[in-house]
Amino acid sequence: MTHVLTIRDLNVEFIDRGKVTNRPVRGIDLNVSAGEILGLVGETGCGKSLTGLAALGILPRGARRTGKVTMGGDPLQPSSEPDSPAAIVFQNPGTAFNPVFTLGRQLSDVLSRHRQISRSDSKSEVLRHLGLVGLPDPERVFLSYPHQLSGGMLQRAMIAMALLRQPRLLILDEPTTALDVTVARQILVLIDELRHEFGFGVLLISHNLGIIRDVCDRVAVLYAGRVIETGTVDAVMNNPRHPYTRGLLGALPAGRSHGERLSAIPGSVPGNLLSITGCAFMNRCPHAVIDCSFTDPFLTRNGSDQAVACIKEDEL
Amino acid sequence: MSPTTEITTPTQSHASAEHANLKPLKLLRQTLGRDRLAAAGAAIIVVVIVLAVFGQWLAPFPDQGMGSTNASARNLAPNALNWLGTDQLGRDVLSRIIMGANPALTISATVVAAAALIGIPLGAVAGYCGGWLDETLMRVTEVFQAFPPLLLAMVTVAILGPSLTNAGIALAISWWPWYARLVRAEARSLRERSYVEAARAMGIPQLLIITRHVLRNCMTPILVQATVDIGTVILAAGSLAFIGLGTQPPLPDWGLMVAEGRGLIFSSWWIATFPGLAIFLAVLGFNLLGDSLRDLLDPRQVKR
Amino acid sequence: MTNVLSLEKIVKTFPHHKRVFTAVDDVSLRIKEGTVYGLVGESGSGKSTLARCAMQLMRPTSGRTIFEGDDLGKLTPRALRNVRSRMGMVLQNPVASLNPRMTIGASVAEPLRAHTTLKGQALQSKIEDLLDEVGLGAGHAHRLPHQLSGGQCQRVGIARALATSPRLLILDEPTSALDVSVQAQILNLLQDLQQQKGLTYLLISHDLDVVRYLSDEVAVMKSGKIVESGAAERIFTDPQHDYTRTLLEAAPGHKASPAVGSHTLSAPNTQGSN
Repeated sequence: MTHVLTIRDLNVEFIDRGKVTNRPVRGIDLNVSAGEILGLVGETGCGKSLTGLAALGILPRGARRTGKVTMGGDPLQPSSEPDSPAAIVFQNPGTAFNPVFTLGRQLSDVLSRHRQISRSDSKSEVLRHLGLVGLPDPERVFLSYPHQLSGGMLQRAMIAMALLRQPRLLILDEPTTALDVTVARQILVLIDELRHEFGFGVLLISHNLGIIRDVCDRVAVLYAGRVIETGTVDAVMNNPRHPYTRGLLGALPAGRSHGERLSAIPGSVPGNLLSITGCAFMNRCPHAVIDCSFTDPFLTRNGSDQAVACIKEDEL
Repeated sequence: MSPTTEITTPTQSHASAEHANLKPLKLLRQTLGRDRLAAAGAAIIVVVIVLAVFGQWLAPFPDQGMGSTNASARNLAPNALNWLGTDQLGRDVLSRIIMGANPALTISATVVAAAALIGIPLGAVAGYCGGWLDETLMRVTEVFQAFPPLLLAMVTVAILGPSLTNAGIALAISWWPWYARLVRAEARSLRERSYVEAARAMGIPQLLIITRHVLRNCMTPILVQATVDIGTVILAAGSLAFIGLGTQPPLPDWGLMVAEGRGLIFSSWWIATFPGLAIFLAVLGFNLLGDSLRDLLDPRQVKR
Repeated sequence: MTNVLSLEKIVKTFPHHKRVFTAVDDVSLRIKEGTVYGLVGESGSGKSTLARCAMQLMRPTSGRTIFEGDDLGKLTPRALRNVRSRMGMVLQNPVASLNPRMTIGASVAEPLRAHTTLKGQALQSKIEDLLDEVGLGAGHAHRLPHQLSGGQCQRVGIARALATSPRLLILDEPTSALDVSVQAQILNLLQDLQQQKGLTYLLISHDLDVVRYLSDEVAVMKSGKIVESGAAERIFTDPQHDYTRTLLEAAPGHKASPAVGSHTLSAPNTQGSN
């Protein structure tokens, strides 16, 4: 399988007046293959959204990116470029569209920037894509303003907008967090169908382990700007090796009976990652030993479908 | 005005005093160090305050500043003795500008304080309680705001008679609705905040909710507005004096001085220009500081 | 077991574009002492409105709210304030539910000053006890909300709700703004407190796993009505109403749905909600 996205040693640093003040993404390696959904999971502040955006060259003010991001060997163009092979869908569909233009107008604009196309072809192409994402009445949606549609419909329209660019990579940043569970499920089903149909790779960023488990093929677990465990969803979810992954899964109330204590991870995510030497999870880890404070663990492959960044992995 | 002092316990008030005073002072220094415009605004305001307090000792000719004339030195251009020249009655323009700082600052601070004292409680009650009370109060403010502020002030002065005090009363009458509306808008949005709902759920009395949770959290826009308004009222009081409805001659007033020098602007430009410049700088100073206060008073900034 | 809270035929309507929107439509429920009653539903189902009616933060359009024998709708504002010292509420957004300009200690002190005569040192030690009870050090009393994490703020919210030793806590999405690891800490805390003190909870959440984990009884709300209610285990293992089944099937990570993405997912059948 070809990789549609390859990230090597991605770092994001915040710089204030010449000094590096924080490094929220610290050396991330990722691959996304064509037709595959890779889940990027982690808690608030672990750097998952920043990783997705930085991969596309979208950086907040004062941030700098180092590392290599390629698509099939070519350096990845920022998604703002018309011929970028990557598209992104954000969390809140209610604010992602301009409220004063119709959806048809906004989608047509994206299409005309992306392709040389006549006005009548443009409209039929937009309508076709609105149909593709399962919107029941494309003609009506075309003429609607954003406030006239529900959150679920808007998120479908967002996905249609992304598809218009014929992406080889789709980055979804918490695509269903703002939606109700039943609607969220429909959106996930849609994404699952579309990637089979069009063969694009998907980087799905989510804090929700359940969603990752439901739709992803592989998963990368982020902690403090690092991938600390990665592998197939089956392997990672059913046989987590890193203490943090175990902690996350143990913290879920699903399947726990009444009165049983959840295995909460003590403490909280470190705020500034500049001063970290050794393992960033050490302070919260039940298995930490002295060595953890010196040794910066790197991802080590265990078998073919799982890699873990923990020096005590063998003993756990 | 601090409606919240009584709620903190001894140990807490110590801690919150640290938050409220010590850190912002440090922050003020940092902000002024980084933000040149804010520093310039603060510098201008410090100069105006110093002139207002120590004017009679700083002015080269304090008696002329208060109005005594000097027929032998009329309409002198700026020179070594009268740095900014003299007016048509031979009075030193610099001295009159310096002596004019006190009335300008006094009237504007008083007007803003009076407007805030009337407007803030009314706005807070209207915004928090809503309903017919809100409707009534807002209609009243609209009546006041329907008049151009200067026209309203002119009418008031015409009834009460021209003087600095009456100009102040007139301005306060036309100014308070702005505070009422500002606070009402803030209160209306604060009313929906989770912590206000939490306070209601805890059975906290309404009056405490208004002072502790609503008013305390709309202090930032009020302070910013008040700072900017001190400058604006200087301008408005000057305008009233200019048309003869404020300070009466021979007392020093920047607006009055502009009026006095206006006929001679082509022959003796300095008589009107320098007081005009004084008004301009004072207004600018308060505007610049008001803008930087907005950033400074955000509680989330204390962390940095 | 006696009922701590009974809602009888609660209706709450709002005027909406010259029409009447019914947020809560004839809902009745009874919460027994020392139990956890879970209320699940999607956004707009009326569950939060119902909770606010129970607290009388909104007056219901019709229906009765009986709390520990008092008909709350018939109380004077002053009497209602006093009743509120016997019920506590924990809100969804932990940081926003604390006044940003008040220290943590002052926030926890607020209900104590309103409903008790504690002063000075006695008040201080009570605040420290409360913070200690929710797993926060006394040192946190001098901090401001933005200096704390979301999980810590929610602990403060719980400490404040417990200040006047209420028998009933209304928990409105208490963990939905929190990460899973922090959510687990808060859920453990809520469960410990409930068992130690024999508290009664009305838990409102859209998260079925959270509701299932904490609740003894569950009601499922949709469009202002309770479509199904009963013992928690029965609802989750043997749902009777179609909507309950839809919700259960849609829940992320739900066991009944195919595990890994390369298989086709089943889309729930929810006409009209999209």
